[in-house]
Amino acid sequence: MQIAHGDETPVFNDASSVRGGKVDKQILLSGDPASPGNFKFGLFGQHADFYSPRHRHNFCQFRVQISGVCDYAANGKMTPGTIAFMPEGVYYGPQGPDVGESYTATVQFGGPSGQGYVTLEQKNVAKAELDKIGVFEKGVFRRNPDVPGKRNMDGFEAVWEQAMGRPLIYPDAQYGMPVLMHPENFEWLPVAGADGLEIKTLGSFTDCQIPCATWRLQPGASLTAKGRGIYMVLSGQGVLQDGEFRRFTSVYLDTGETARFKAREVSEILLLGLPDVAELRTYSPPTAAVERQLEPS
Amino acid sequence: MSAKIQTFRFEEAIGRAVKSTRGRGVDGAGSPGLNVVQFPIDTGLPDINLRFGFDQIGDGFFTPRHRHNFDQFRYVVSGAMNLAKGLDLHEGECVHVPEGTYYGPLNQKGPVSLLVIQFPGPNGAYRISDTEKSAAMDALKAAGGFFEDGVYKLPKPDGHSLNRDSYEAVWEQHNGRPITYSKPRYETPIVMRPQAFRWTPDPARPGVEIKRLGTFNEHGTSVALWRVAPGTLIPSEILAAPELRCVVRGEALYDGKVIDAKGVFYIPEGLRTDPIECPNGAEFLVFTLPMYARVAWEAAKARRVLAA
Repeated sequence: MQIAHGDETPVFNDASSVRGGKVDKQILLSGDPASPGNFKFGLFGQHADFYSPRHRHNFCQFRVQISGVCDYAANGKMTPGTIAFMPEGVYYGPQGPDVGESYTATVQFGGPSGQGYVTLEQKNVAKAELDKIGVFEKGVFRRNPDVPGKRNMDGFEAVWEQAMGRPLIYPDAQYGMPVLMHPENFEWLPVAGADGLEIKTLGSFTDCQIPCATWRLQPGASLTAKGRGIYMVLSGQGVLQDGEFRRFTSVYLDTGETARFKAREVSEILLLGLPDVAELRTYSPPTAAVERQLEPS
Repeated sequence: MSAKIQTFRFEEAIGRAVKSTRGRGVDGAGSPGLNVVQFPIDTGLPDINLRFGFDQIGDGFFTPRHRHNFDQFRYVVSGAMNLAKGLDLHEGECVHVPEGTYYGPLNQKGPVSLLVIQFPGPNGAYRISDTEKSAAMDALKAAGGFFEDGVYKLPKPDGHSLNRDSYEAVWEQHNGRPITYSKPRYETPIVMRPQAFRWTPDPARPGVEIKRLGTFNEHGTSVALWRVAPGTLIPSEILAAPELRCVVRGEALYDGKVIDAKGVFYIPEGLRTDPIECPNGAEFLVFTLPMYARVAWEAAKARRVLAA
């Protein structure tokens, strides 16, 4: 179990960012880099100059729009309260430039394919190496003319391949597009046997059945959270285990762990589910023969 | 009224009594085909008019961008269905179009055949029956209007026409009040690509593997594919939520009846099934509808009355 508070976590500007524009980051929770279930959860402030071309990832992510607007073109706009699930292999965007600043909570995590998730530290090292042989412009890595290799690459792909030393093979997409959810339009349903506790199940996705849900606790009500995922306090305050919770207090629970929230005032707690590591596929990197076919010309 | 376990062979599906209210040239000559057959499923709940059937849509079929006040899923049996510009649903793929979510325009290229389920969603809005739709369309035509390109057009004395989305016009004609839509829970339809999902064994049903494609809304409406190994006997069971199981490949034997491709089971909650035998193997498309469990539906109705 990990517990972190949004108001106690330092803000930094990420030098490893491969997209265009400035992003202020707070990393609250993170996983085991050696595990295919690795993850990173944080709060992100995107400045209005942020831009990202249409792209995809070899990991999954949830994004929660806290303030401002993120425009994903044909995939829709995220307004405050909207939650997006971006499955691995699914294209989305382009994103931005947006009007004003946008503040989101985001978790990126290894998806069903078992390809895992590259850490910030690995990305920092890889990007520093790429900065010596090219430039990142609006989410695209442009290799210097005198350097052998592909001229233009998606910035994330370039960093990932530099970090991992092999071509990035995207998992087949299980969905046609990201899933944007509007929790305010779901109905609260009472949780049987739990006074003062209501739930909105927002959906579950992929063959790992990754869940997303939110609970509302009346003063005095309790929630015993269980199941691998990130539990983020959207509003309210109360007692969490031996300490306190308040807005943006966030908890990571591994499979089999539990955490108890007891509300002092009306509180909402959001689950951004993570797949059980045992359910992830065993990823086999491509064979040497396949790698040769994929070498940039 | 309580529902029974129902099984239908494809031959027991019945033709639709009325054309779609949408689709280019519904009234005109050369209207692209939309042939629908549907199973006479009785949910046992009078408010729930569930349509499950087999649609064949012809080349050139068009509907404008629109939304529904009910939920639906579509699964492509053959061909490819256009969902919007640059977005097609291919053979073996499935889409969930939740109530209140806009989609389209649909501009069909080539023929496509689909399994389609439409049913009142969490909002509980009444889904009009074909008979009711037919009567409402007749009344609207008798009023001097006509249907074209998914729009009901009522000519005015000044030479212009009063235009309404055709489904809305028909729904309002039948119900005598303005149609309302729930606010969208999801921004877009959810397109599922089952070929990228993995089969996982069902611990409760030896010989059955499942692809769980997605679970949606606060009630947990879900869709899955089942692959049943040859020689499997799906044991007798009591479901907590109603399920609609459609055979998409192979065949199943139930109570002496052979249910083969495009045949369907409707199994209400709380009733004990007989074993389902699949001597040569089968694949099912399975919809689970927790909000149609009688207790859940009655509770939801009570909440809606309170909210109103």
